[in-house]
Amino acid sequence: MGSPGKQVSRVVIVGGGTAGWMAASALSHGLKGAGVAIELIESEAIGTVGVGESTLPHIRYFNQSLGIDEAGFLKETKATIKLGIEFRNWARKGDSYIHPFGDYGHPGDPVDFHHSWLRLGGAAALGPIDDYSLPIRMARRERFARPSSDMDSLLSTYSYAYQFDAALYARFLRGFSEARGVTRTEGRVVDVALDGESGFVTAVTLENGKRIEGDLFVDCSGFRGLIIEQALKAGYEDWSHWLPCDRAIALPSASTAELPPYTRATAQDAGWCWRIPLQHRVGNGHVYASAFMDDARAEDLLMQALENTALAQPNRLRFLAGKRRQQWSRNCVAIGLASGFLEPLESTSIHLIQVALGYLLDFFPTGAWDPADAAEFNRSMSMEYERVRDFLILHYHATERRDTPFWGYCRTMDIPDSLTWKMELFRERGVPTSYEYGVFLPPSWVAVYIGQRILPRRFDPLAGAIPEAAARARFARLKAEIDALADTLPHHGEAIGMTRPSVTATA
Amino acid sequence: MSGAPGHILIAGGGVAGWTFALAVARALRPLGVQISVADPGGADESLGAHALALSTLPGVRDHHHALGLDDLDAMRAARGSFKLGEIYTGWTPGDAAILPFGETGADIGPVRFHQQLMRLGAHAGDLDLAAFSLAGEAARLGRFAPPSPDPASFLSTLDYGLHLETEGYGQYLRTAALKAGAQPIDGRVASAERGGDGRLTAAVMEDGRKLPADLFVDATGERAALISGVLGAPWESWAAPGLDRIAAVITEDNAPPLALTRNEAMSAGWRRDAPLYGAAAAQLIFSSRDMDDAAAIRQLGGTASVSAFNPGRRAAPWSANCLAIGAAACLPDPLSCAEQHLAASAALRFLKLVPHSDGGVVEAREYNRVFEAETGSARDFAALCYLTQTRQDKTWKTARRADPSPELARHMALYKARGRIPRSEDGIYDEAMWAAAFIAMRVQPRDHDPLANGLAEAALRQRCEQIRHLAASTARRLPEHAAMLAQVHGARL
Ligand SMILES: Cc1cc2nc3c(=O)[nH]c(=O)nc-3n(C[C@H](O)[C@H](O)[C@H](O)COP(=O)(O)OP(=O)(O)OC[C@H]3O[C@@H](n4cnc5c(N)ncnc54)[C@H](O)[C@@H]3O)c2cc1C
Repeated sequence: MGSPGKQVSRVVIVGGGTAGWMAASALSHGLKGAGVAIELIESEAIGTVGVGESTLPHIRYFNQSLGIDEAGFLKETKATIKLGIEFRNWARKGDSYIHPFGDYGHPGDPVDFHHSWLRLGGAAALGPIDDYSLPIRMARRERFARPSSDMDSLLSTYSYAYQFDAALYARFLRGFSEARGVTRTEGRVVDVALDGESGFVTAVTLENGKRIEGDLFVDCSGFRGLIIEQALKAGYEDWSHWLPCDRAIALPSASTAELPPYTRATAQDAGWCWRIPLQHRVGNGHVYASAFMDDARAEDLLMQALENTALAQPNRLRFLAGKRRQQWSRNCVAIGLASGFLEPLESTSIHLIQVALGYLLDFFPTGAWDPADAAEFNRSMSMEYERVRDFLILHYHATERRDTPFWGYCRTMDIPDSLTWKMELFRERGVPTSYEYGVFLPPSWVAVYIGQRILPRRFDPLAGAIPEAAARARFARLKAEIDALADTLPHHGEAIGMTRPSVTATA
Repeated sequence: MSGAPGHILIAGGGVAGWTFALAVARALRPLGVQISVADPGGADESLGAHALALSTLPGVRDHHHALGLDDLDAMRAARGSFKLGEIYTGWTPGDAAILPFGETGADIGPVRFHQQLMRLGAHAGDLDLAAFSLAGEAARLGRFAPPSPDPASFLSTLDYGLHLETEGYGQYLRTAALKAGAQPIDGRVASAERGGDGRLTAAVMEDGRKLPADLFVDATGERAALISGVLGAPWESWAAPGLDRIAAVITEDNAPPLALTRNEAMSAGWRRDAPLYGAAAAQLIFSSRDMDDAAAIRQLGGTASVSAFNPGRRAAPWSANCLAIGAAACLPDPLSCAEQHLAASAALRFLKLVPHSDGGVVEAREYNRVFEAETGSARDFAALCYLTQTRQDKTWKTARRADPSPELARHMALYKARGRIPRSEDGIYDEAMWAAAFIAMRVQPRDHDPLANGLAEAALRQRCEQIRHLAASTARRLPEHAAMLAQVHGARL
């Protein structure tokens, strides 16, 4: 109970989805020896959201910081490698580009690569910018090797993430957490007790009457926000006017002969479909805006997009883009879907869980419950959410599509000032905004701007320092080097020690 | 027309003007851009009349590297000495505290070193952070060596900045800029002419000459001939209440120089001493209500000059086709050690945002955004000292009667709660330096990081003792700072 002066010695995590078990892992590891007991409550009857399979490279640091061995992790979660996301049909029908986890060109080019590419005439003269990125070439050729730390090598120009089975990852982290003393309680929470004076959460009560007390409550209960919203009324900032997709249908299918080391996001009439290849199956889903498309049509489109036999019944989901006004309120910190939702277009949800856990450990409460800690946590998380939000909006807004009312809405909607400025800077002068904190670095912004056909009016004058003929020759050499290098690398499946997926049917 | 501006005119030389000229000449001369510097000669006013010497942060060495300069050449040109940190005396009555550069102790996972010490019961009131730092111990013993490039070596934990005489440093930069292709123009820019669209068209010299250009850089110091004189961009003042005068002097001094900048609080103000090779630079910042100029001059020595002290910044240093740098853009309090940093970062940031000759609007907005964050951190770093000192003199009671900026208020609230430093974007100081400043100002958090409780006490105590021992024993084996300096300067003494 949150009485000042007392150390936080009991942490109660409500929810055993990806967020709950990541929280249990990070806290049990970070608070080792500090005399803090951690209990996690989950309800099999309620279950988890059952999606969330594509990640960002940062998850590797999460795993590493917990001392998790990569080979074992890949095997147990049936994970594949992810070098980026392919976007199809976004700016125009027929378009395709990859947002790679990496950069274009050679490491250490004095002027950012896209300026040199623009200066020589861009795609018309040199072909797509994708041709000049090793990770993109690797992705298209289904190749993979771990990046090199030799900063002169092209092999240092990329990073990678995973595509995994979310249920298996949660199970994996459960094993990790339980081995570090986290206790797990099965049961449904039916009541949240608040202190009459402070409004702090004192305990939760399970269906069977068991009462569980705690000092800090981590709400990982998913969309419902059992404590943060239902009990503490933190409030929700609705961003659906910028990100109108509010439903999804998910459906796994059998593997095909291919094993692409990337996620695909194909734009549809009122949303987009994902394809996430895992070792044992392919994850598929359709994210759409219910104001522009009905559920039956959405399901039809998803069925059409499947490349192989469906392996389960469709999982239908509803959500609202936005975030809790306070993700840390009183003695409750909301993490995962309980804290807000940004659609999975850039696979950012699990990353935001990881970021929140980092901040929670950074500002782990003292018994005094100083409001400065919660304020800093909330400020930092708001910034992280807003930066991801702007990046997502860019994909929808920077389009030339006029073929459906949905795209018409997105193309013409008002966007946040913070994004307007970023887009103006790029459109005018090709400069991607750089910030120290927040997930997407300048190369990601460049990839999406150019992929979405925002071509700067002006490039960096410094790109003109090299004589044109020499610059052209360099481009030709670079492309040849990338093509040749990619083909020497192992096939994706081989690189992760996997025997080819058993193909149960042909597409 | 598109393409880089054909002619960049820098109004004013000095450290700010010549740093800028050097950076743009290196990058833009190959494109045929003309770069001229209207340098009236005489005293360097680009960083403010009272900045006779610069006391830098360690980042100066990265700046030199980016500009193709050599630290030792710069030192030889500017009576340079090494700087291992800052020392504050009297900010808490009777107290002295060193803020060391480089690494102090070692973090354990997410648990910062100062949190480890507080977990062991250390109290901000008498915590000697420098004892756990190689730079701190070396400074105390008057010793110095450049850090080792081998990260496994304890010698790699030391870091240093420089003390440089402004005038000599400016000359050094000038020589390098001219070699890179910048053109000097004799005379002083008095004003400028504006076109109908509000952009400047030509600088007007004191003798009436007109110099047309595409982009104008205002390096005229506090005079701000273009950004203020022509464009009327307002000044945001940061002065601590009452501290309104500054005196400055350089005197010959052959005492072995301390590898620290010294900030000594006294009854009617405070004094900053930056040791040079064979000389000493001193500044006195004081309240005209509690001390008159004559007394200030007596304190510093006969030739000291006195002027008004008005630290602050311009809201938008890049307006239209005029970019203000140096003191025309921001005059940081000396406590923030930011003069050289701001001069170099302005030039390097500009190179990422070189506008086309008819452009500049979006580039300016981005430039100004980062400028605001960067100068905000300089403002807050100095304000922290004024607001948290505990002296009882009238001057000092008045000086702390000010509100912190919202960002500093946030920093202070978090530090006071549990000794945490929040992340802040585009700031000049890292987390360790902020923590060291809070400790030097003897700010006591109410609690420490609970994560530190996970560390076993006996083992932690032993580990901290080992670090202290290592710092002391390693520092004792380093060469004398004076000997190193004599070597750098070819034993001119
Ligand atoms: C369509 C879609 C696609 C997505 N794709 C991606 C992706 O590609 N990459 C990515 O990073 N993220 C993705 N996400 C997000 C990702 O799925 C989630 O961030 C992640 O699964 C974390 O969910 P969670 O643990 O917060 O919630 P859930 O999985 O919903 O878990 C909630 C937990 O709380 C428990 N619970 C709830 N109420 C009670 C109660 N009363 N008593 C006891 N227990 C209770 C449940 O039993 C469950 O264990 C996607 C999300 C959606 C909707």
